[in-house]
Amino acid sequence: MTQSPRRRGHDAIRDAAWQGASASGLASVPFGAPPLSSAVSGAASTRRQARAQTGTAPRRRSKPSDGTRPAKAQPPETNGHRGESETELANYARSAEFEKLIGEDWDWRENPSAAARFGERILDLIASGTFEGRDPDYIRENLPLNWLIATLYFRSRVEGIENIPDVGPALVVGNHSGGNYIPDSFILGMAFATYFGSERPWYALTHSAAMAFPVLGRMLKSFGSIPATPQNADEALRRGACVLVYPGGDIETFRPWRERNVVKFGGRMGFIRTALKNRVPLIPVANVGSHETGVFLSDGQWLCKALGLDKRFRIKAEPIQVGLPWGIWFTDFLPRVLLPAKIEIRVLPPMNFSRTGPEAAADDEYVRACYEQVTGALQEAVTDMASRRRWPIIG
Amino acid sequence: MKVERKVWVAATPTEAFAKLSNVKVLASLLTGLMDWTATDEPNRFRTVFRAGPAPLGGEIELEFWPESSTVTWRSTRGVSQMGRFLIRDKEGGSEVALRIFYHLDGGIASRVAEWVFAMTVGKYMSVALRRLARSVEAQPPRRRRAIASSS
Repeated sequence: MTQSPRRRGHDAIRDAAWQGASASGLASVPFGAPPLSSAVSGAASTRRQARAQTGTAPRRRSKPSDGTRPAKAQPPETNGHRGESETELANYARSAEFEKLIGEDWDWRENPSAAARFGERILDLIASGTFEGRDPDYIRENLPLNWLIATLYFRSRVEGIENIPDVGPALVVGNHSGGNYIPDSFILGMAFATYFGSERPWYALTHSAAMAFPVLGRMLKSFGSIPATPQNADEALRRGACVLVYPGGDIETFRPWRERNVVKFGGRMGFIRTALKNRVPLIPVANVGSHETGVFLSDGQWLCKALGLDKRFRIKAEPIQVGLPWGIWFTDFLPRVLLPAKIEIRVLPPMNFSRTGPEAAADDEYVRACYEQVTGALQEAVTDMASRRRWPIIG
Repeated sequence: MKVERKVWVAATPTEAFAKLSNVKVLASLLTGLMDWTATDEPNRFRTVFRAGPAPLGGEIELEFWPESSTVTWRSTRGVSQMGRFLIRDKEGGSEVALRIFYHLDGGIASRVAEWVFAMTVGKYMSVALRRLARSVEAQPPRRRRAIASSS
């Protein structure tokens, strides 16, 4: 069998990519190229057939002790059974897209953490290019449905939306609640669109794992979700948009039931730096009730660490919860019945800090003081709103 | 979706129209109105209504038709809507009809939302007309005539 050295290298990349995808729980790469799963399994099958015919033992790669890249083996002879999909795969493997996907750590066997980074890169690629994904008409057409659910099911109420400036960018910061279903985000987004109109740009920084889902991801992009990175926040603000961020992220949204009225940002201060650096007003948004749409027993941070989800998918928390229809279960990626809790949202007056600009954003002490100010205001509002509720869920 | 409510007022159509043609009075009649701000353009107003969980923002353009005793408005931003106060002679007084036509973009859910929305809108309209009737009838006839002739 003959094969070019280039071809041999691609086999290694391909195998590694498949291993990375398997480790990441992703069976295929959603690009125009052929799916890795079918192509790679086809290649493995071809190799098994060849070994069965020649009676040789399965090939094992030995890792050099000095840590250098393994010497390239002699190219195997072709057996004449290479299919069309493999040709396509070879073309794909030469493409810039695949180079971008695999990055510099092309030999995954030499770098165990590269598989984790591979998973992250896939998520990033899926979620990239989303500024143009926001569709005002889609939002306008779906407002009535959101309005119905918010009105009839969640009996929600939004106060103080007029505190958001009529023009210009702003960073809207809220306490994240309700698990993956985030009813508060949809209600706040709806309130913004009904008040200012769907044309005014509104972006929500969203976990890339949520945006990686085929249908949900497209829907979120249409509503204005963008991957939660500081660069995306800067870019959205530069475009004059209002940006919604929940600094607590997964740690806060999966907090246990007993902490449902606690603002839990976990010391994440990036949002303060973003507001200071871009010199935009920071608008705190408090909500209660959204976290009563599910009953979380634990945020499951220890379980995520044990399963390696934190390294592979940046998922630092996944809840252990009780409810319908599963009883008691782990993760919030399964569909569940949301409890009809009364959701109340209060938009607080904008916070303008005395110092702004890149220098202020680089001052750790100052950033911490601003952080304490924001979390203090939010916690005060949440406590006030919670104290007015007579019963959980009922409100 | 069309919602209509009517009220009988013990005043002539000219007197009722004189009341409605005052923008401040008109704004005070509208229930659920949270904000009513004049824009730079004439007869255009930024409005915010409370309807359901969140305030409903928009911009409307008002038109007054004294010859037919009609006040109409049309939305230029926000929810697509058109409204009309129609005043007619009836049984020694006037009948004021308030009609609002609105449309929500989208599919079945939007039609359901329109129907649910109609309950709130209808309630607001009834209250607005009752306020109008009380406001017009509270003035003595001589004062009403003076206002009508000046407008």
